[in-house]
Amino acid sequence: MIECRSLSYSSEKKQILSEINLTAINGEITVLLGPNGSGKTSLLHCISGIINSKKNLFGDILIDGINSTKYNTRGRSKILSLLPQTLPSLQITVSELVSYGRSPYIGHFGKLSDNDKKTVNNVIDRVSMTEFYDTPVSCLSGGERQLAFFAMLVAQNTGNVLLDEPTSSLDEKHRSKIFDTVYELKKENKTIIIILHDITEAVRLADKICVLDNGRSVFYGTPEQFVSSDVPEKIFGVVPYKCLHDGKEKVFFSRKL
Amino acid sequence: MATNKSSKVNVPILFSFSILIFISVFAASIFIGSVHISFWDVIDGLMGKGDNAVIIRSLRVPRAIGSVICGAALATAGLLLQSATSNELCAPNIIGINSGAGFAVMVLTCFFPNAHYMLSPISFIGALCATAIVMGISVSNKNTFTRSGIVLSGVAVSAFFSAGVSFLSLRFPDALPSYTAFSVGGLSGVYFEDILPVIAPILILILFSFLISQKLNLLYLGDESAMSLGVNTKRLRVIVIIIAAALSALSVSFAGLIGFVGLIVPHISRRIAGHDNRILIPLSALIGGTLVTLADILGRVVFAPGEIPCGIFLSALGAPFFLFLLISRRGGSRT
Repeated sequence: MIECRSLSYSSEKKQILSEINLTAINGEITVLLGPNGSGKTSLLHCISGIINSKKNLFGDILIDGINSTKYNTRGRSKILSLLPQTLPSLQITVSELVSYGRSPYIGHFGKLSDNDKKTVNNVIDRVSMTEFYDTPVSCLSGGERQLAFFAMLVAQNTGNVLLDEPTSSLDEKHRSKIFDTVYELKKENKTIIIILHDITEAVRLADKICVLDNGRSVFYGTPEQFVSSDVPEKIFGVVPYKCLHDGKEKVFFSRKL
Repeated sequence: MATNKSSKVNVPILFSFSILIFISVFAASIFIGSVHISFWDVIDGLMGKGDNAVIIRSLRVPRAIGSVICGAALATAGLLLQSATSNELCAPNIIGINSGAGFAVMVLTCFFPNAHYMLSPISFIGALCATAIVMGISVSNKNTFTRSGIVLSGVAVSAFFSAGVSFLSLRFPDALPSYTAFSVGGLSGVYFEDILPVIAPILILILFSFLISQKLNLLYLGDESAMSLGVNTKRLRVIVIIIAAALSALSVSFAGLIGFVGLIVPHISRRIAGHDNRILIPLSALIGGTLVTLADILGRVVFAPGEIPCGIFLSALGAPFFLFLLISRRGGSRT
């Protein structure tokens, strides 16, 4: 469970986040929406401890009920994982990359136990990357690389998961693979906060939606409340419409004319 | 479909082979020199018998040990810096080691020309002070405490100290010969009393580097992922740069400014063994030690009885070899 209480963060020149209140509970997916530069990634960085400036960060972040300042970096890595937006191309293989996900639990030399190896193999199977087991990450396409890093995060097996635009460069097949796995993580009672740009996808995936604009939280509620509010139109310039898709009524958004 | 499969290196064979070459070169350094001494006379000399005992035990053995630890220290320092800054052009001289040590030696030779016994400690202090300034600038500001910020701070501080050296060389031209001898770098005249104080610290620092090698591997993932996996990236970077500075400063204190080892050896090691620092750190130490010892042997025998400092040999042979590596480099970079 992740709680932000009156969280504010400013850089030297600009207020990045103002009085953010957010509660993401176990077994729920919270989607962060907002225009570019609205503070979504900064919020994830504050929660994950990447931004930890005592001078510029105010308010409280509680992870599993404990103030995040009480955790050291290694302790936090056992309860919270982050998939960043920018992922480097590496010479290491996919299996090595995924095995890095076990780092918080193993010793100095990164030697994996049999259980860790089993976890790594299971995760690679789970995201359908078995054929890339010994392939260097640098030889993967952008989407496959994103999937490989996502697999590393799944191998980390933390109760709280932060995903910063995990499907930004993925095709439909890889996108559904990630969303399927995110659903499975939800069923495993994990707390998931995910940044998305696609509003339609956000409404389908989310249990809660938080919309940021200029560093302020302008909406926090269920997808149904989001659809019936004026937030889509005011912030994103789109309006919802419903249509039948595979026999079910689904919500889509179109640009307001 | 997978387009490329990784070819994994056989670690035991790699290290057996490297250790074999290392031992051979180390032994050659004792057996070969500007004065020809027969095989059995060298053996006798090692036992303390015969006329050549002084040459073998007091000159060649400390020189061989000195070249090994100097090469190992510089190569490990280079690898650590390249890993910490994700910059494959980074080497000990980039973080101000050479310029700091050079400036300190220049000050010593200008103002205390007879204090030769202070050369080692003053170069060590100069090297560490320059690095401390670079780190101070880097850590004090979040704009400079980045991978490129550390390198750029180092370049600026190096330029400042180089200007100091140039200024002093104009004002005190008599000090230039001593400074030049130091700046070329070499192992001639290295005795046990020079290397005994530095052997243990260098070995301990290399061992410690090995202990943090897996954390260095995680830095390849980028700071965000590395922090998410439990690495305090800022602290790790500071520790790594301090270790690299100490290793380089210890080496500079008895061997002068030997260039290129810290840059070229990590590249050779990566070409052989990939990007795993758990393998690269001991391998770079072995290759660095072997390479400096080999350059020292060549410096002694090619123009015998005259001698060329191994620093000149390393740069003269290292530069074309480095270019060859760059040109024939397989696709892709580390990060």
